[in-house]
Amino acid sequence: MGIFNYFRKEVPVKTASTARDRLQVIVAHERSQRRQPDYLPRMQQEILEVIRNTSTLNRIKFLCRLTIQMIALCLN
Amino acid sequence: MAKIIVVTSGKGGVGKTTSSAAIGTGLAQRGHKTIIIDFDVGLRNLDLIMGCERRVVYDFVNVLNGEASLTQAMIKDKRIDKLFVLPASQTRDKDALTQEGVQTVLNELKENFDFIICDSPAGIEKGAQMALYYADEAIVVTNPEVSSVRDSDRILGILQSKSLRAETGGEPVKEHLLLTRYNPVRVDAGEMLSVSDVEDILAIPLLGVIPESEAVLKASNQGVPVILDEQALAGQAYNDAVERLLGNEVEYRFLEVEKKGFLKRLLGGK
Repeated sequence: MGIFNYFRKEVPVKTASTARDRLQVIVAHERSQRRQPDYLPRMQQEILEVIRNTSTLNRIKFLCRLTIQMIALCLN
Repeated sequence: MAKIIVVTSGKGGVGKTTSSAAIGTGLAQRGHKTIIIDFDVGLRNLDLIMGCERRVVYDFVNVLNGEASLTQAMIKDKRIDKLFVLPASQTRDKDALTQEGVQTVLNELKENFDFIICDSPAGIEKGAQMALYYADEAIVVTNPEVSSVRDSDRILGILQSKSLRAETGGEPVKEHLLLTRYNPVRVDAGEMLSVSDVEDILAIPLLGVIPESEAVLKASNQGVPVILDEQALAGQAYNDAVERLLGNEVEYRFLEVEKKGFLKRLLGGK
């Protein structure tokens, strides 16, 4: 370590908060999947297929909206 | 009637066997007749951590297959009265454990012990599921690190859906969080998830926080459960956790960075 490094104080990067935020998202997502019935992923996939075949919507936008609708479907 | 406690985590290398050995020893030290069962078939290691590897003659699978009796397979600890170990088999047959077999052995043990500690293998496969199936309580060992926390949450999901208690609609398995390899200095620097971060995410009651400690490696080198090292912070933290497991309220220690006194700083002590 050179003498100049001694004066240049390193600012520590606080990565723990990043870890916490990422974990909160992934754990919540995985928990919601855990509670869903076994047929739901296949049903989601099939509904997706149908809509994909009959529309020209942007796929990514569409996926987000569909997830919300699936939750609504669950609640019904 | 014995209480069955599984020590589990999902992720490997977080300290399941170290914790099983420490907690089992701590319970026996307090006068409770305790047996620690190694469920990690094919990767036996509890015997090494407990320092009884040279006394293994028969194992868990021998008992299940009727090749040995439980009394033949159980190893009595030489240091602590009322402490026993049931080693895992080194067979490569992954179907060596059967649900009925495990149930028969546990039922027999229940008659004679106060605590049965099941040291789970890593993963969420059959071995891990077998270890937790009959549990009354679960100690989820977690490191303050993303993959460990996520895997702990997965194993909690399995406890809540695939244990006997969950399947029969009984009272749910009582869950405890044991945070190991905790380093308050790094938490203070914002480099490591804090106790409250992990508690918030997993949302289960805290049983103990074990500080990262050189004593753990030293203890495993010698085959002595780290709880017997009373000088070590990790040993003391395990003792606190055992007290909490028995329902006693103990204040948390070793969560803050230790302030160095003037003399200590001057002399450069640790």
